[in-house]
Amino acid sequence: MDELLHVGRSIPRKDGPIKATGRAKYTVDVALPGMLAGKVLRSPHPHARIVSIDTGKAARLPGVRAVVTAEDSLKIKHGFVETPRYPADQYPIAVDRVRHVGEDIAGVAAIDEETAEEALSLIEVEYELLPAVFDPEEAMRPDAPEIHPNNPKVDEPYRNIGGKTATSWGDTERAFAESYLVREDKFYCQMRAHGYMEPQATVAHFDYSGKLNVWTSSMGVFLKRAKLAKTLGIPHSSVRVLKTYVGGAFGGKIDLFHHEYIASLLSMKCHLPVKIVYSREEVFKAARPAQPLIVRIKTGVAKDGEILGQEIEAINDSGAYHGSGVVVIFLAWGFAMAPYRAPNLKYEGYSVYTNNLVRAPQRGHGAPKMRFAVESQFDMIAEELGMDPVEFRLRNVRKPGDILPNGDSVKKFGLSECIERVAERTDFRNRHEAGKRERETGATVKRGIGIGTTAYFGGSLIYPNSSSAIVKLNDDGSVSLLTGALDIGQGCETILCQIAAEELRMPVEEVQIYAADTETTPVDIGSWISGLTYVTGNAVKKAAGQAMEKLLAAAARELDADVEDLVARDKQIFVGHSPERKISYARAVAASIARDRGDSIIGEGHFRTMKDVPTHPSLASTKGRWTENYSSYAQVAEVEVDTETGAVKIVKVTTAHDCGFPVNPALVEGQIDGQVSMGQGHILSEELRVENGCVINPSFLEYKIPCSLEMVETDYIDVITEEYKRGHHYNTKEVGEGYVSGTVASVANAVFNATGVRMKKTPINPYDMLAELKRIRKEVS
Amino acid sequence: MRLPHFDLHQPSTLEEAFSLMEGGALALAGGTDLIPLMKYGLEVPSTLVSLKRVDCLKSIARRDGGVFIGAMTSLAELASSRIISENFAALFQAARSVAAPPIWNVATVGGNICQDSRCLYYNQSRAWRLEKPACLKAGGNVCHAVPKGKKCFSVYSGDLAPALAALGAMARVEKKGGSRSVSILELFSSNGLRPFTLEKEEIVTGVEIALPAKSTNSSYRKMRARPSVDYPLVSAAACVTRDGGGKIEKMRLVLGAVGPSPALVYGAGRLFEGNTLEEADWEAFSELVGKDVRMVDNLSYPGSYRKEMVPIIAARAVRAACGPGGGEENA
Repeated sequence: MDELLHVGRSIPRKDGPIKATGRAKYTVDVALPGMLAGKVLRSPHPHARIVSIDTGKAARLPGVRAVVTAEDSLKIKHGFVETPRYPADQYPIAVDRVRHVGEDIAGVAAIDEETAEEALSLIEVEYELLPAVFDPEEAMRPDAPEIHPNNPKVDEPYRNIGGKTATSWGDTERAFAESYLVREDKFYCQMRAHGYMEPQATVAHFDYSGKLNVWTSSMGVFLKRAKLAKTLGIPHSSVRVLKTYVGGAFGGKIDLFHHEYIASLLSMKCHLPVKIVYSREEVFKAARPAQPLIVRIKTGVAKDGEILGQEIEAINDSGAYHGSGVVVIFLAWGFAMAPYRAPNLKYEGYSVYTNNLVRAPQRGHGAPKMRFAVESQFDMIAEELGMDPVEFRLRNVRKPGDILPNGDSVKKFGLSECIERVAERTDFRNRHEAGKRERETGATVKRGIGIGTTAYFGGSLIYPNSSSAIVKLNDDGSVSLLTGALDIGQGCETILCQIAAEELRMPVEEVQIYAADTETTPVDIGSWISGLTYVTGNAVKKAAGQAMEKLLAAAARELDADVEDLVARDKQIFVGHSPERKISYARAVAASIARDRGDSIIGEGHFRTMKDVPTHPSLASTKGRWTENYSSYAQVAEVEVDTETGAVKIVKVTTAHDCGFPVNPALVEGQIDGQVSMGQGHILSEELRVENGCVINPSFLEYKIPCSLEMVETDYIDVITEEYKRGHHYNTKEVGEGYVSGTVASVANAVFNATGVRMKKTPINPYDMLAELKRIRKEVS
Repeated sequence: MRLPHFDLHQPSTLEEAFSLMEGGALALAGGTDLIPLMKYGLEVPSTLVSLKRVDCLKSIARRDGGVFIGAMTSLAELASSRIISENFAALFQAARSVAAPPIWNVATVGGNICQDSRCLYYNQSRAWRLEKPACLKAGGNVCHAVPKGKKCFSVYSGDLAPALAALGAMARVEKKGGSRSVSILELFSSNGLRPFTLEKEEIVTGVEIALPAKSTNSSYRKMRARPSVDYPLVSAAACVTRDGGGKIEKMRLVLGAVGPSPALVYGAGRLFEGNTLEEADWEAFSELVGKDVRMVDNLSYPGSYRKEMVPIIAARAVRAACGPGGGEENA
């Protein structure tokens, strides 16, 4: 019974055929009778007082069915985080003031898009322009324009502080005094978009039963329901969020988006379905981009490379509202401290309001920026010490069983093995020496190699904190799996079916999944915080396990055998020592119904990470447990730098990964490839260019995301630290977010290896690279 | 983003097309340039005359010691044509460097040549542009790329025209009752507001290139942000004739994406004449090439950097033209 049938195998995706044949229904495909087209009027100004709004002409335009402004709303604020320290700070439709270009001011529903657009142009808004600020460090100055005058303040001598995380242990001053070498460096990361192919889209239908039905491109339906219900002032039971296929999210579709609220409000006003689909330009200009970060690090090391102390300051430009800014400054701390020991550490993170777009998490949520900074500085230190970057990392890496300052154990942490194996596979040490020699040659194109590493959390406690699953056995012995999980392309439906089929010892094909409907499926943690396979997967394991127990109990009675003697295979249950005594799943189900008060066989399972911990860690002090499972990986990038043009080309990225127990190895590799590509965009080309709060490259032509022809060659090394155990939950670790970081850091280090140029700002544009090349050439001569 | 309303004519003969053009219509070829401009509200023609059904415009044919390429020949045909690859490497490489292969199937030779000049601040949606005063090219009187600029710095971003110009190609320009043949460079006005010298009802119906001498070779090199898809940030086409000893007899060098029109580098040939590549004065070359172009911050890379890249990309084009094969198109 111990041979694994499904988990640990690269079975094809459940949603593969329907997507490949174009039959998968995305939100934009939802069509309802009488459906209207909705459009949103947005602020053209980065900071202004709204003196007046006149919607009269728009409302009178033939074909317009509803117009809404803040006056139609309950003016209930919401926030990505809503805690006493960080109360909700954002209205879903602007009230009296706009704080960024693109902020939602009004919505229109009309018989078609053209009419809706014309109606927008008839809405008259009078603004009184206010001074705006776009640079976070400028916004912190005491004389900067104040963006949220009435917001509760974090007590600081600076202005516009939306949030602060501060923590420390040991004595960094003493550590620096005792250090052989102390370095202080400052790193900058750009603002990026997520680059999901499917734009934001929502259909809202408030029907005559008083129910608001919502189809929306998201990352989890339960959070959307909670936020819509709250801001609309109606019970959760009056909001139903239904599944649609999702064309990519990468962190960018978590929170309540205002078009979702506006579509709902419009539908509630006219009782007709309203569809709002963003243009690509709106995606870039009005949806939430990712978090930029400025990181200052001071690190002191002993002569042998041991890290003695670190001081880190992170400054986040959160945009006009909190968004996830107050979270990223907490997470950035975690990504700084998790992979390597630092006996003395002081961390301060500031989230600063500016008049830029509000931010969302993006795959890695701070990790790529923090690891870029830390790992770049690691290599600078190693170079100064005359150490190999691999040895430097091995000298400081956390070992299995290490306890972190927050009380988490890294358990079977595979990072040192990842580092050693990736170095061995890529012949890192020799090639790194060769790269250094390359700096001295006159070659136009120089080759270099670099390493980057990360550790990442897998699941943490944020709303709704847990997942439940229901497994129903049908009369023929097939299975229906009910889960609130929403597959956003990562393949969770496939994984969950594999897990259910494994527990029930039956073909995966006979597990039918019904997912992501707030009304009919149980609650789910959502496709974020890298916890779905861990949390929902284990809920499914428990539900399927419970169903299996019931099935075996019914079979044992029918076969007059002990449950312990039974073996299940191919939807049949046998007595192990006399296999001629057997019963099909179908008959066992029928027997249960016949004998036990009509009980059909249903299993339920619930799972919550860190079940002894009441709530998420403190965003202010970092106190409290963060996660149960730390994944880790080491990545090596090989690059070519054209020293005449400054252009950097990534030739290959090799990844050694510890993802715990891989339920579906092909999906793990898919995740790695996707993240290498995102890392490539981050380090080389992607940047939202903003002038006075206005995005000037709001298109896939001018936003330079890597295309298929730019994809780099990848290689994988499995460092498997966990295994499947009957009766225990899966120890899967994160696999969907952290690899962006290693790619970003390893490329930056490889560029240095090849050229001697240390880039402290991403992306590494050819023009910045060339300027640096020329600068060091001048220094040398 | 939706297209505005317009009338569409789809004539099957050139004569019909010429007549239809007389009312102020715009000619539509593959539409890969014009349709996005219309969606952005930058072009608002009331009538389009599609040339898709004019079959005589779709051909690559040898004709009197040269090759005639019809304006409606797709880039995919150009990029797979043996006549082109064997005789006009620069043009072949330029075609293969346009956007991405799916676009080659739609885009045409005539359309590629006649594409409008581009600017980060001009090629934006109507909604985007409403947030700012209209720029010069959009009919206003400010320049967002160069504050207080009185001249439009939009950049001609076609790939074929520089290559054709280096190869000495002639364009056939026709209208009702008239036809003329002009050099590729004469098609351009050097004015970013209206980059072409064509009269309203005129259509470029094709290009003619004389077959080169055996000792002549050419190449096209292009710098772009993403080799998979982007417009050029700087490009260069070189056509070089050498004697048996490798000494350069004649060289013609044309730059792309350096201003509102492709730019012939005067004096580049004279500089290298009588020298092999090794003997050539590359320092003088670097000083000469791109000396007169003014490049500003209106594309994805800064103008100063692009200007710095001009001699480098040009040198790569010259070396490639003297090298054994075509090599990669991307610089």
